[in-house]
Amino acid sequence: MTHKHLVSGGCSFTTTQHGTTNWPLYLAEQLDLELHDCAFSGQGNGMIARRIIHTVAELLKSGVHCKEILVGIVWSGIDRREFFTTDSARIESACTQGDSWPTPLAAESNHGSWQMLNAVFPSDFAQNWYTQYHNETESAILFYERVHWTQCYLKSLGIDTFMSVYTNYVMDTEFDQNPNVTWIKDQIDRSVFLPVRSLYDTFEPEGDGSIYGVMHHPDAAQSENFAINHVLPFVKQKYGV
Amino acid sequence: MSPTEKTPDECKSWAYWLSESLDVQLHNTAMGSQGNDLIARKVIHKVVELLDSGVAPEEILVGIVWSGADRKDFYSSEVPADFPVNESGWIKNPEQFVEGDQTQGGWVIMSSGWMHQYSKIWYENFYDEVGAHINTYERIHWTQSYLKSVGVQYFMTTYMSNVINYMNNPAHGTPSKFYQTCRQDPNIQWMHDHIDWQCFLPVQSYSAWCDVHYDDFVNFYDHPQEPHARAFVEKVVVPHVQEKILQGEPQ
Repeated sequence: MTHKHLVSGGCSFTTTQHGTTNWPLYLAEQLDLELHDCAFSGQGNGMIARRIIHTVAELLKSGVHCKEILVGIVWSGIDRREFFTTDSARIESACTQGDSWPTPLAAESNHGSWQMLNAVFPSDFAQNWYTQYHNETESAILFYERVHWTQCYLKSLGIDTFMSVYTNYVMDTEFDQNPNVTWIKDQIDRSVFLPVRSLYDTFEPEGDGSIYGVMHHPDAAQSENFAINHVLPFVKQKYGV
Repeated sequence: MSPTEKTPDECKSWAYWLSESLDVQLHNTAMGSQGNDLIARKVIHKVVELLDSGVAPEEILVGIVWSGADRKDFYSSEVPADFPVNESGWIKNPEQFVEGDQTQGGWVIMSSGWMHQYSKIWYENFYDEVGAHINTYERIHWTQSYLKSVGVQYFMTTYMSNVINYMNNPAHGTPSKFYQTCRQDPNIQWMHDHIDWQCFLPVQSYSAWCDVHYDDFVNFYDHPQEPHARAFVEKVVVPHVQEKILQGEPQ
């Protein structure tokens, strides 16, 4: 059975919202697949995992066969977090201070939303989190847990998958030496990762990207290059597309 | 969580009696007060450890009694020197579970009734009841997906009936008001529909079962003692394991 649907997930390096010309557009075009892009700018890996699983679940529920789906994920910054909240006052307060507005996972929901947290967000809410709870070791642990959750789910359904990371910082971290990180890191299936250090590395070979703050994003030509010269050969070889 | 835990000074939990009944070696990762993030993490870590040591997947049976959705933990690289110590030793907080961990860090457990600074700030600023339930569903889904991916059999229930409400089967009881609200919320409903409910014991919860069967047990207050644990294993867990797992019925 051949793929008919491409489910893509990630952050601003992947999203195709608001006319952004990122790699999923070019890959879907090359492989003649229907694109289901659930990437959002600024979202962290918890949200990426949740949206990928949700989108796949919706496709399966609509009658699409597992083997018709190809999932591609470019994981984002490990420092990013999100919290589900039904407290509209909390959201209002954070967002009027400059944080990004939350989005519900399910479009028809009016029951609550996922509020993103990013180290550069100015609100008291965000700063409270990063001051009191954030540390890079836990960020690494949670990142690998999210990747493991997604991989186990997709594997249990037999869905073809490829993955990468947006910058070199995501997986090349010194806190990976902590045994609380290494045991779960060792459970990750590396065979589905593209043979590149990161998406960022494919267009800025001298740079690492930034763990906190604004960085260069791929333009249309760089996104097309990533899709055609890095993703496509990998998918063709691994899944016989 | 505590109804599963067995320490030398505490009563023997259901896990002990089940291991006796099935004549299998017990690897108990439970600990008083821990939440569902740590429960999932520690169970997966233990199964990984067993598989890495050469144990075959079919030689492993996993049993989980999920805990309070409101409980939370986070890893701290450096725990402050003035962090309050649980003097009775009933729980470790912060908790370390990786063998050979020589770091200064650990998993800090938070509970709504505790007023150490981490707990207080968490519940005042970040906690949300619906969000907590979504998190519990996600941890259950992660654990089930992993166990399925490595071919390990499992059964599950909850310590109290307010943890998660899987009462899509009327035999399990009347849905709570919170449950009915959640069922209207697509943020929870889609994940609820992805949980493998067939592996859950046919009871509302461990605590609810004790409440129904013992006059001296008060639901939402008491912890099961040895007689409760032993009877629960004999009357609920063993029949379920024999019917659904040992006889090879698909879960």
